[in-house]
Amino acid sequence: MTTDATNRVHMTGDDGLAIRLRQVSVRYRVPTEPVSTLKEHAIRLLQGRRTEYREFWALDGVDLEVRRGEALGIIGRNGAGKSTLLKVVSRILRPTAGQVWVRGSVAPLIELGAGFHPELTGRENVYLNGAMLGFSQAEMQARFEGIVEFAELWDFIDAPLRTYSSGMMTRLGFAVASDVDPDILIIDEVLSVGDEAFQQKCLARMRSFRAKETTILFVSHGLDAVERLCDRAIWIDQGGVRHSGGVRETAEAYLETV
Amino acid sequence: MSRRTLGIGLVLGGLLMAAVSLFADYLGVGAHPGILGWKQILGAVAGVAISLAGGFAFREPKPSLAGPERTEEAPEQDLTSARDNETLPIRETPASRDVGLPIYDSTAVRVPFVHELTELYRYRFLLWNLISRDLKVRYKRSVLGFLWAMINPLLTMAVLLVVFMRLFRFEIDHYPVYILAGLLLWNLFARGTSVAMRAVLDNSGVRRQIYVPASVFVAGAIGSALVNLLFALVPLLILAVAGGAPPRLSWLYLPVPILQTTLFAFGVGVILSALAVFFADMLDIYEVVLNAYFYLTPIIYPMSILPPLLVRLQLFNPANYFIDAFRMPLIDGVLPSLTSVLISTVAVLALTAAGWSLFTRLSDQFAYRT
Repeated sequence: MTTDATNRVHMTGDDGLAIRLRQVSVRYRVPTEPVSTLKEHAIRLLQGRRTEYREFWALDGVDLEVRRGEALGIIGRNGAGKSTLLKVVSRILRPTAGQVWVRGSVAPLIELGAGFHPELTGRENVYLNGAMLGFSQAEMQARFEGIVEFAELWDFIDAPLRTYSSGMMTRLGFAVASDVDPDILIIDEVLSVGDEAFQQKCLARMRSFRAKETTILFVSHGLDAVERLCDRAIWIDQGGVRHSGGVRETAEAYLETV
Repeated sequence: MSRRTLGIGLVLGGLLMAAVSLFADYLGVGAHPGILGWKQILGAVAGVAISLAGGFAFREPKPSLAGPERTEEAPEQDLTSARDNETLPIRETPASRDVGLPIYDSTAVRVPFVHELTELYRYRFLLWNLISRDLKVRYKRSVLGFLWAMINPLLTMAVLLVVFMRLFRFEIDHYPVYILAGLLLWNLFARGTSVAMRAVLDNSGVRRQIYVPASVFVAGAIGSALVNLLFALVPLLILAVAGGAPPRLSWLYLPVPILQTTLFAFGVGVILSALAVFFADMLDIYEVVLNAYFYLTPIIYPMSILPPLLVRLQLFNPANYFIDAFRMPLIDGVLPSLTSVLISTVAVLALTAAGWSLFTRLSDQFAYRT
């Protein structure tokens, strides 16, 4: 009840805000010795020893606000916490501490074809993938033609996926994942799919998201791509926001340390 | 308001009808005390159906919103906006686009037990898709296709028949049907739980990238086991008729033990799948446990060969209750006693609720572990 009340206070003051992170921390506990079986736990319990864990903070007290329609680039080294940040926003991870507040639907433009099954046809996979993204059968029926059209796969849509080339598979994956119309789009390093012509289509689709005032979170190592798509960037380092501001200045600050 | 009252009335009336039908014997209106009669069952089923209909009427009509996240918190949104309207009639909304959008707050108070249920309902289309995927993948490349779902248990039964009739010479009437009926229900439990146990682990690849409630995969595993059983019912019933157990009214009771077993499998499945995330050796342990359980339950042999101690232990074995309750109406045309139906149902409901509670409490940690 109390959170409900505080929520409403924020809501009135936060018009136009899409994402807000307050002191968000994510802690992974990595056991110092490998104990992942029941047997080992039982032995340990009998011996009266406690398992020791090394704590690892993937995010450590992150504060962040993103306004509706903004495109935010997220840069940083591998393992700095970029993907973890995306995960707490898209509800995959519940943070260990702090508050994640998101207004609007969130859809990740995921590693393409997650959940695809090689034995199913392209058509069946489109429906399965759509259902994983939370769409109903009827909603997918309405989108189906557009998806196949975009992927340019009419000739193969009823063939099993195992007969597809990897390029065809990524095209289909991108077509499904990008056909959603979310309020917040999350992109984690996927823009380099397909041939030149298909890349152009992908970029065009990205721009149409921008035109629709979709909020975008974009993680990439390609600083050029970030600069082309985003208004603002943050640099994440060791689980914290090291720098936040214009794309160019953030990129320069980041590059100085590399 | 009238919709609400109608809904409540139907729910209560239906439940009352079901209760009166079930407890007719105790109220002194039953025709054959101690035996569950036809009218009782019909009355109970009709009562439950009416109260379910009432439940649907009672449900508030939801605003239809597109997108995965939208439907999710929509009811909550409605509540707050309704309350806002009462307390703050005039509220300035400069950004009108924001109004009505669902809000996710990681610190919001929620009851995992209930929350995951609503999530499971919200992802019901995924559930159907997962079940049909399992079936398609399983039979797609085989020559006989779906026929395998029916042939497979028949072949197993044939092998067991040869072994047990020739070697052990059990004296059981309609032994082929006895074995097949037991096997089918057992397979529902055994296959359902074994696949369910791996459900969370196997789908961690997807769950690392998009939010999908973990329970959908468990339910999907049990669901495909159930569909497989439904296919195999065809040869079972044919075999029953061929073996001299003609179709009877009592066959109408068969869905009840099937549903009870499904619930049992689901309850065990959620517990196993949660534990398997934390303990890697659960997969091996369960294989052994399942095997022992199979041989301790009178599936392929009659209860009469068990020593007294094991017979007494069967009192605490849900699988035995359900398999028995499945065979009796099928072979002998007799329904199980009301007490045994009630006790086994309540026990399995309690088990499933406990398992669900464990699963939903731990499910936040799954993403950290897989």
